[in-house]
Amino acid sequence: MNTLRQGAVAGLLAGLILGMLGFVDYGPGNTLGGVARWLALDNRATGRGAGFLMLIVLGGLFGLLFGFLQRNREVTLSRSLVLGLAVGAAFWLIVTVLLGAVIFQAKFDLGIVFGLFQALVLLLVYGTVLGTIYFQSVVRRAGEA
Amino acid sequence: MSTLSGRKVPVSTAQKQRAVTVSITVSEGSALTLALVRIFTGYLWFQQLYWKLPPSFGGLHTFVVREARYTFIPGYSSIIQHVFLPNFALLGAGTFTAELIVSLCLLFGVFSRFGGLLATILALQLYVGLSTSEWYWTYGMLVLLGVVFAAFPAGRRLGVDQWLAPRLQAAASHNRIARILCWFV
Repeated sequence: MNTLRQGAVAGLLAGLILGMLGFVDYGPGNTLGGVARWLALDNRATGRGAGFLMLIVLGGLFGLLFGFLQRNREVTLSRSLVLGLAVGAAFWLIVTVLLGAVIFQAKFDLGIVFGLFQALVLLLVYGTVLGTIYFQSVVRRAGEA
Repeated sequence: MSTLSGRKVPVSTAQKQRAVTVSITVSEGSALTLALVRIFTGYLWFQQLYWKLPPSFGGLHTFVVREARYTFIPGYSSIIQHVFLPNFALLGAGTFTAELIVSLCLLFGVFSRFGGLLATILALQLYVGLSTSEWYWTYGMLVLLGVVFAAFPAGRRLGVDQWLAPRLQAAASHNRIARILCWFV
């Protein structure tokens, strides 16, 4: 249970960073409207906010998955990093590729390919941050105990 | 001379300097803040790849032509016109690759100080070529950000360098390549 909670908290924080990265564009925050489109929640008024919240919630859910996969295993930095990257790749595959590209039947031109690559890089960054935050929180708790 | 237990003992200049220069320990919060700034800066570099995609590197051409017009270093305009522009495909591929490396180094915190160093060089080139055509400090601040990440090991929190650094440091005593790579994490 502790592992699940720590994973979810690390995932929420990594999701928050991911959401904040959505403002590094020419918008600010136009990318977040694109995120909301994954679940058909985009509109001019609330699309950015919905996308920002979606990234945090999805980050928390995939953090929960991270915690589930990490349970009953010794926590090492290398394992946390590899598992975090794997969860980030799963995030990309399930949410971006399946929902974004298959449901909306996007044409695979160079722009879409770069968009998918951009999402992959961002979600692998999410995975790296998730793994390191989780490891850091476990190390800190062990230090306090 | 200094008094220790009532006896006069000589104090070297180095010891005196050490006494007034207290070593700095960076707090966890400061390290995490700089790691966050690193990720944002890395994503900024990554975003700028979008308008210079291969195979044409189209958007870059406009900026190289502008550099030839606005550079403040005498003779650099001639180099751009007679060396860079005739070999634009090579320049485009090199620039795209270098910027991709910078962004990945800073985003993932892997060899982040190398990423900072490369970012400094690339930003200096932009500063030389374009700073007089826009707000002067736009590229000046980009240079300074690069310098910060070249100087500070920001990849050791929220990054792969946290895993790499102790391994490279352990190998550095008996491996020259590891010793060199240590500078970049």
